[in-house]
Amino acid sequence: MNNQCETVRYILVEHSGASDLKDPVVDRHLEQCEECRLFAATEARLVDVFEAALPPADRNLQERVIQTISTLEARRRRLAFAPVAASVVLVLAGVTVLGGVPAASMAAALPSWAGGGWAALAGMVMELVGALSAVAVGMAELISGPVVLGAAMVVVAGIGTTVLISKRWRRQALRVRARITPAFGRKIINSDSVTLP
Amino acid sequence: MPKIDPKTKDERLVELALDSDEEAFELLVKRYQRRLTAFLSQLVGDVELAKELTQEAFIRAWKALERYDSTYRFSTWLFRIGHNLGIDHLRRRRLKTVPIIREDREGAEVEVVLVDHAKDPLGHLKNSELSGALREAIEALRPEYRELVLLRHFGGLSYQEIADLGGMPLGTVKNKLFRAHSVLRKELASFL
Repeated sequence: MNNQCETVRYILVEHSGASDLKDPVVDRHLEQCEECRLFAATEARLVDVFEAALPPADRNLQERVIQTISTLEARRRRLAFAPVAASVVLVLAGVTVLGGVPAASMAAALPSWAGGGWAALAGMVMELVGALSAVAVGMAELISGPVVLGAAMVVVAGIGTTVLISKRWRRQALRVRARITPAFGRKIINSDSVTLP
Repeated sequence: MPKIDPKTKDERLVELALDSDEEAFELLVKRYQRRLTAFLSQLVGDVELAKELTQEAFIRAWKALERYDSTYRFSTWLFRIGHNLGIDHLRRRRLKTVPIIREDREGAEVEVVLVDHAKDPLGHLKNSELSGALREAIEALRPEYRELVLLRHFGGLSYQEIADLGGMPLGTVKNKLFRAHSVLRKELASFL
């Protein structure tokens, strides 16, 4: 066995004994060297032994995985808007305790193209907020300064949480998009890159 | 919704799975479950346990899909998760057992893995003689060779993927696998 035999055998092991590599150096050597041809055949049979040793596909395992991720996905969807909803509730609660929302001005701020449905929904929300505001105004006469300060802090915390969540979502979405869009880098392994000991 | 072409590349399937497409992830499960189970079976020596670990690896992959770094192949990432699970399991098991050590042909100490034949990872092989010989041949390998052989032949990973996974130079992977094959060819000579 000479140096070329060793080089060719490294390549053959790397390519699972395949002797049809379309590599002129390997092809030429195999034509001339019977020992390496035998080596290639043995390597190919060794790889076949490993292939035969692979277990059959397990349908139950696949189903269990899919069932579990379906459950996880459903839960994730349900919880996706929970942080935003919670922070909006915090803002509304804080504003309410501070003395109510100017319902009429908020309704006026809605876009002019908003249809009747929006207006009805806004009306209902405003009525609810108005009622809460009335309770809050009544309570404001009874509650002390620190409570009002606490409510103000709740408003700020709510707004802060909303901003942070929306920023994080945007960052994550951009990261995922940036990761997926460019061509996926692949290092191509070929017989030229073989390094011998 | 149109069915996904089974030949779709892993990267595209990951992209679809990130958009909550479960069918895309199912294709990835179909594509890799056999090889991951085979790899883990050899690693932990118990086919039923390997199936549980495979299931856990896929679920962890789904949960962490947003953190998948596409500079590596999906298979490399998935096998890293599976490998870590397998190693964690072995570490936990090692706490309760005393290893039996013997010397291999090159004089290095090798831990003897006692196989419960009811859970034999190669039990499905029709040729029981070959199954036994293959098991012994794999056990005869040094641990660092054995792991590479499992990743290459049961995991179906390329040399580059193995190098990425093990954090070692490509040349080292080539050398170690070349030596491992020499041992395997000797051990399995009567079957080749």
